[in-house]
Amino acid sequence: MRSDTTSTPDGLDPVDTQQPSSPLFSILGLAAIALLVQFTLDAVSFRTGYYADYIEPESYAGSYESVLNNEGSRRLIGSHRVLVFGDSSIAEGFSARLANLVVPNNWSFSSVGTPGATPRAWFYLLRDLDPGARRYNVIVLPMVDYADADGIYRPDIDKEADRDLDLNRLIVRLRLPDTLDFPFTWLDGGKKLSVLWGTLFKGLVYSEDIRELLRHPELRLRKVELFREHSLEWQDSYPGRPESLDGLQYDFARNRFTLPAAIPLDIRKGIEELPPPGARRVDGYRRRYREKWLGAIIEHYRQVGATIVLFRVPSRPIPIHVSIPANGTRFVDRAKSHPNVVVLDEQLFADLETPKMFFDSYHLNAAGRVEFSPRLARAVVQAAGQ
Amino acid sequence: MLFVTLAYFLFFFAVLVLFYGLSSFQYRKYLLLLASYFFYGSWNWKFLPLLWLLTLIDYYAAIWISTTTAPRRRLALSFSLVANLAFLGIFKYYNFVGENLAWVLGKPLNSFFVDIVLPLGISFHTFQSISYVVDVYRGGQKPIRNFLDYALYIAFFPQLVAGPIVRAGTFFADLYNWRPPVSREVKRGASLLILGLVKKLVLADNFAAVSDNYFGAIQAHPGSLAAWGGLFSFAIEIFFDFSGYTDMAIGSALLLGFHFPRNFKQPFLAISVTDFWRRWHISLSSWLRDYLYIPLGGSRHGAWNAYKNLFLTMVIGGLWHGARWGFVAWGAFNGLFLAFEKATGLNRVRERPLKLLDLPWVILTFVIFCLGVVFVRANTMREAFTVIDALFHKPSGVWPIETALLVLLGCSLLITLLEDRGLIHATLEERPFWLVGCWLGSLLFLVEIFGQHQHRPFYYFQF
Repeated sequence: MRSDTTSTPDGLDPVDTQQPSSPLFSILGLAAIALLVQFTLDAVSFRTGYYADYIEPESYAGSYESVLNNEGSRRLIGSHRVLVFGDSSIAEGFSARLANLVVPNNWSFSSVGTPGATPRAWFYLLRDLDPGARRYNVIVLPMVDYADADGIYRPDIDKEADRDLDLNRLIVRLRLPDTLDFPFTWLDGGKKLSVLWGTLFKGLVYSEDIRELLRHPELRLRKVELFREHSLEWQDSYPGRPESLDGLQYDFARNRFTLPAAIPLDIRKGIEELPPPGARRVDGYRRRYREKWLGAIIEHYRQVGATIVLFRVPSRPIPIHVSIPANGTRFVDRAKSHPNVVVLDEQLFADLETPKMFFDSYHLNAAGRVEFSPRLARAVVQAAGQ
Repeated sequence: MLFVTLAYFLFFFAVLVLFYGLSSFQYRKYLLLLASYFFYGSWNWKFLPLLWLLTLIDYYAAIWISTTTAPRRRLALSFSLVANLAFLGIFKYYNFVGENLAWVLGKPLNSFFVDIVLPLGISFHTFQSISYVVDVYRGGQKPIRNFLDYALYIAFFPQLVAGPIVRAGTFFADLYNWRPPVSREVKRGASLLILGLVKKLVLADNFAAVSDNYFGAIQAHPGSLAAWGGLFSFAIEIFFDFSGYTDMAIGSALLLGFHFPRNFKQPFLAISVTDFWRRWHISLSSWLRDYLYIPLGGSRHGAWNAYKNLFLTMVIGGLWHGARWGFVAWGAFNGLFLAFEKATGLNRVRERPLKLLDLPWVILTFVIFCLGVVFVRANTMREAFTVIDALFHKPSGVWPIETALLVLLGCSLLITLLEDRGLIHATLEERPFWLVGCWLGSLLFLVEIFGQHQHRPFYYFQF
């Protein structure tokens, strides 16, 4: 093969003019090798599970892992083992310990309510916590409404399918085959691409955590150790928040809140941003999302005959009157057709949606927790025990 | 479409596949032109007609110059220069002039304010156009007769938005004698592309977080340590930001068979301010020399004229960077140092590898650079003087740069020293493809872990 040298206009070293078979194949080859090496380094670092043991316990992923590990290590007793899923409304509002005080001895409740967790996150947690669908007899799934109304939250977080944080929360749980479907459960094209990249190269998601670890390694190790030893105990003994919105008033006619002066600014802001009661739009996003993820959980337990209980969680310090008629197209109507699904009365806990039971715009306080936990437990026993 | 985004890599990958998939080079040129307009349009398609208009004006101006008699040649040149500078002036300097005029007239500063969006890359493609027309006028460049070829020269996507400023001679030599990149060029191109990514995401953006924190609230970070840390971070940020961008531009072009000039040559190892400006943004420095300093008279009419021309060139160069008094001050600061070095014989230029005895000069040059960029980064002149004041006090305050970042910087300094001795590229390009691939994969992993992934725009895009 001919080879000589020539100088380049960039003034760097002379280069040989030996032609590769095709520049494109050379470039693609280089890219493929580079990506393979990157993937291998990433996999060795983050797919082996070692790093996951040291992630920040209070991060999205860390708190989810903590909840999963605590629940996984819990020795379940009784013939009726109930798992309550949920986001912060359950983490704050429901106590498995209080629930277990009022149910028969052969029933045991536990909860994996985690702030910000979505039905998609519940599904992936369940996949690892109870892969054979034998660990629990009853799965309890909260919903903020039965109408599948869109626009219940702020518009920017309304499309649950596009919530970025699900990737952060689930990063430890995601496996390589998930690359083929998990990113495509996002609706936005750009997000699909970034989630795909994050699922494939987990370091992209862990990078912030790694930097924080490098900043304060000793602190992290101590914190991880502390959480390993005590997080289950903290979770079980959590009493709820003592503050209350008592004194909050809502003028339905003028759509205006009157807030007690003592309410802190951030909570005040949250309340003022609450969408007013009344009509909601139904774009179909929430219904399809529920069908996808709550449907997947129902399907997971369908074969073994475990009972799925759906209920509306108290989620506002004032009652929400969502005026959307039940016309048979709602998710709950379809879910009810499954023999193993029970849907509790939508208004069962509506009386708890009062200011004195809440500490902010969305969460029950300690008093609400004390009231709600046994009532949910009794309702579940009654519905699933039949 | 930022170079550091996945979108750019997908775009570039598609361009590469189509480019090498086409059998005729004629079609490949059309593809590059279309891709370049797509790339530019993805920022703001509304400015495409402006780009086309300037392309058209300079294309015909050059032909006019080459086919007409002497007095009209000058007219054609003036027409082209006025058109280019008028657009640049309106878009970039209108509000600056208006604000200062209002101040002089004692009116509210926003009296003449017009909400103008600066077209991306206008400073760069304007300079590129001017260099082409002037070269044709001087007889150093034949006019390009194929409009699409000329359009590609102006719009070629790797250099369109932030340089390097490629001279027509360099570009058309490649275009008209195009050959596919050889193995070493493929390895070098790919390495530059990934190295640029490391520079931008791992180094520039991490240091940017520190400098933003300091300059975002100077009063909240008292003490000389905080000031030096914030300033040092900004100096490091702009170097890695711009040299990272340039590496990616040069690498992208090289993979398509085009050779862009080198734009940075270890500027922080310079031994004088003169040496620094031969190593920093070389394509701009040489443009300013050829199209501003020399036409102003250069050093032809005595020492004082040379100092004056140096000073003026740097002031105008500063103003080119941005329509703020801070940039003018920065240009003047550098102009003064260049003139001082010329007058005292301290304008030494290093053409050999660095020696230990150079170290004090290297440090001094770096400190002078840092002092200069205070005017670039500070939001007002008052802020700039506040920072300079804080620098010259005994050590106090909190040093803001974390150890991990300093370790990364130390590694990059080591690489720079090796590069200074010509060891990096030469060694890498002699290795087999699989080994180069492993090296690039390791760099990508470094970006994955330590990179900032918020897609912060390149600093030079604002120019």
